[in-house]
Amino acid sequence: MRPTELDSNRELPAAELSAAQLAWIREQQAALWRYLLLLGARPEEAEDVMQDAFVALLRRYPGEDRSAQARLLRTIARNRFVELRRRRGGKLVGWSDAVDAWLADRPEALQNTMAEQFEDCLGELTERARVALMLRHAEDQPVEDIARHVGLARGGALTLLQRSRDQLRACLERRGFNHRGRARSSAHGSPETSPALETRS
Amino acid sequence: MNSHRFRPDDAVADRHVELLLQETLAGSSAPDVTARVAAAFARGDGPADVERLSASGRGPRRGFGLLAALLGLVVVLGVGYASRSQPESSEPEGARPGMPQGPAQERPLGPEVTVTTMAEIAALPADTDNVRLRLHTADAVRALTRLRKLRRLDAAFELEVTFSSRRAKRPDFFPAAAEPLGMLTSLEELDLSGHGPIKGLGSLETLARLRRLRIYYALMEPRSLGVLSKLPRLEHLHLEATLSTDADAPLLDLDHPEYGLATFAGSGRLRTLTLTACIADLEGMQAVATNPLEELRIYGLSAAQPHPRRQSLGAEAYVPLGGIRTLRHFSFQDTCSPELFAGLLQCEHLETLNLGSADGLQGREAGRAIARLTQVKSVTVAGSSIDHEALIGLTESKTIVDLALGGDVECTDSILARVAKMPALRRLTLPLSHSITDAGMAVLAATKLEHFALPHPEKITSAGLRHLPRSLTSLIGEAGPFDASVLDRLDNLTEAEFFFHYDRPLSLVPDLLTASTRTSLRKLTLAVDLRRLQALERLAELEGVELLDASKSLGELPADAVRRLRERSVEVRLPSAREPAPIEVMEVKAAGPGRRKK
Repeated sequence: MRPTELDSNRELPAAELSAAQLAWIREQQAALWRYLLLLGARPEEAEDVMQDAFVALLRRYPGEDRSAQARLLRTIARNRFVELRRRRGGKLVGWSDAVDAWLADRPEALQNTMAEQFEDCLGELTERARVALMLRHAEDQPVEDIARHVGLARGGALTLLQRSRDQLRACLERRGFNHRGRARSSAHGSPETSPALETRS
Repeated sequence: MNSHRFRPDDAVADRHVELLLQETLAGSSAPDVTARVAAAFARGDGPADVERLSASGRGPRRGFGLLAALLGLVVVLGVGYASRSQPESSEPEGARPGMPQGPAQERPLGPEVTVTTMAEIAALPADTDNVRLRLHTADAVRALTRLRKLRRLDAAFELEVTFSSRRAKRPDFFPAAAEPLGMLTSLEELDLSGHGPIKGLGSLETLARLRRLRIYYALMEPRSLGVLSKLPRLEHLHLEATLSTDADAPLLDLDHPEYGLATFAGSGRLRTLTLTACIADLEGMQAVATNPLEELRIYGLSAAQPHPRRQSLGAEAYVPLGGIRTLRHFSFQDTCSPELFAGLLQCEHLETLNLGSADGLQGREAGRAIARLTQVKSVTVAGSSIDHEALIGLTESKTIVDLALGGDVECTDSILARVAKMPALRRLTLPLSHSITDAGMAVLAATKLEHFALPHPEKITSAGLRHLPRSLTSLIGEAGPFDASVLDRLDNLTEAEFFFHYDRPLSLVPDLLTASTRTSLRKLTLAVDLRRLQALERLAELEGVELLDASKSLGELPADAVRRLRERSVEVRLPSAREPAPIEVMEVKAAGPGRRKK
C-alpha cells in the first residue's frame, strides 16, 4: 500500500482514546450520521466516512476542547465524502453546498431534539397518514401497495403522502423550526446566491 | 405564476424530512462507531484517500528574502511574477525519508511561449502546453481553448508604466474571461496574479486537473475563494498580497464558513499555502492543519489593518500550525507564541524556519532546539525578545546553511564570532547591527560565505567590510560603507544590491557601477528614491550601463528628469498594481565586459 498523508502521522505514537474523547464521539455521531445521509451517503459509506473524520480530527487535536469542533468535524466528513464520490465519478459539490447553506441557518436540524420533535409531529397525523408513511419509509412498499392498504387510488396515495409530509413540515415550523421558509439570517448569503430567499407564487 | 425553478433549499428540506421519516419510522439510527474509531486510532490508521498525496516537483529556490522583505523590495523585485522566470520555493524537492510520496511525477512542460497579440495566439501550435499570456482579453483566453494540451497558463497582469502614459490602465479581464478560463480543462497551473477585481472564479470548478493556482497581488471577491476547495487536485495555493475588493474590509476573510480555509478541512491535498493579508481564525487554522502541507507562509496582520472580525484573531489561533508534521518550509510573520514554537520543534522535516516575531525563542535551550532539527538549513529569526543565549544555542547547528537575523535582534561581536564558526553556513544576513564593529567583522574573513547582507551597518565602515571573504557571490548592503574598495576585493561577486538611504549621496552610484565592471558582477540593483533620479544623469557618462527597470513615484518625478530619461529610452515597469512598499526601486544592470556598449 502506498503511504498516505496521514501515514506520516504514524510517526506519532499510537494512543488510546480517553473516556472524554469517546463520550464526545458518542455525542457527535448521530448528527454527523444525519449530515452524511443528507449529503446522500449510503449507510455503509456514512459509517466509513464517520470513522475517517473522527480519526482525522482526534489525531490532529487529541487533547483539545471539542466544543467548537463540531463544524470542523462536519467539514472534514464532507470533504472525505465528496472525494469518495468524485473518485467514483460522481459530483456532489453543488449539492453539498446546498446542504451546507441550508444547515447554516438551521443548525438544530441535525440534533437529537429535532428527531424527538418530529416523532411528536408524527403523532399529530391521522392514522391513515401514519400507515402510509410507515409503509413507504419503513417497509419501502410501492405506491400501488400503499394505495391498496389505505383504500385510495394511486394518485390519492401519492397526494396523501405528500400532504402528510407537508403537515410534518408545518408542525416543525409551528415548533419554531424554519424548515423551508426564508432563511432567518443571511450573514454570509446574498439574494443572488441564496435560493432560500426565493418565494413561491 | 408558479415557479418551476429547482430550489436547492426545498430539495434539502425534502431530503431532511425523508431522513427523519427513515429514522423515526424505520429506526435507521446512527451506528455507534466509537469502537471502530478507537481501534483505528490505536492502530494509527488514516483515511483511505491516498491518491492525491504525491510528492514531486522541482527543487526549492531561495531568494534574498529577508532583507528584501524588510525594505519592501520583495514587492517590487520579487513579485515580478516569478511564474515567468522563477519557480516557487514552495516546490518540494522530491522524496524525503518519512515524507508522503505519491506516484505522480510531474511531467515536464514544454518551453514557455509568450503571446501578446491575437495573431501570435492563432499561430501557436496545437500541442503547445505552456503559455505566458500578456493579452488580457476574454477573446484571447477563448482563442486558447483550441490548445487541448495546454497545461500551464501564466495570465498574470504586469502593470507597465511608461513615462508617457504614467500608468497603464488595467484591462477588464474579469469576469468576461472567467468563463473561457473554465474551458481550459487540461490546465494544471494557472497564474492570475496582478488583476483587478476578480469575479466569476466559479467557472474554474471545471479545471479538474489544476494543481497550482497563483493569485498574487490581486483583488478578489472573497466569495470567489469558495471554488478553491472544490478543485479536486489543487495542491499549491498562493494568495500572497491578494486583498478583498471590499474597500471597507480589505483583508480576505478566510474564516468564512462557506469559502474560507475551513472548507479545506480534511481534503488532504494542500501541500503549499501562502497568505499575506487575511483573516483566519482558530478553526481555519485547524482546517489548514489537516492538510499535508509542506510549505506554509503566513505573513503578519497589522493591527491597523481594518476588518470587522479582526478581533477574532489571536496568537493562539495559529497554534494548530505547529502540528503539521509534514512541514518543510514554514514562514510566519505574526507573533509566534511559545506554543506554536514548541509545536514547530516537533516538525522533524523542517528545512526552512522563518519566524518574524519569535517570542518563544529565549534561553539557550530554545536556540539549541532549533539547532537540533536535523533537516533545517535555513533559519530566519526576528523579534526583540530573542536573547543572546538563544542565539548562542542556535549557533550550535551543524546544518544551517542560511541564517538571517531579523532587524531588531541584538547581535554583538561575540555572537558574530560564534556565527562565523557554524560549519555549514554559506548565507548570512545580519540585523540592524548597532553593536557589531569593524573588529568584530574580522571573523568573517575565514568563513566560506557565499551571500552576505547587512542592511544598516551603523558602526561598520568600509574597513570592516573589507574582511568579507572572497568566496562571496552575492551581496546586499547600504551604499556608503559598501563602496568601490569593498567591491574591488570581491572578484567572485555576481549579484549585488545596494540601498541608498536618504542621507546617502547618489554620487556613490557611478563609483559602484565603475567598480562593478571590474568584477564578475552581472546584476547590480540600486534601491533609490526616484525623486532623486535627476542625479542619475551622470549614469550617461558611463559606458556599459543599461538602465532596465525603475518604479514608483513617477508622479513626483521632475519633468526635466522625465525628459532626460525618455531621451535615453529608459523602460520603466511596475511589476504589480499594488504598491504597498514605501520604497522606490530601480534596477541598473551593469553589462559585463563582453556586453559593453561601444
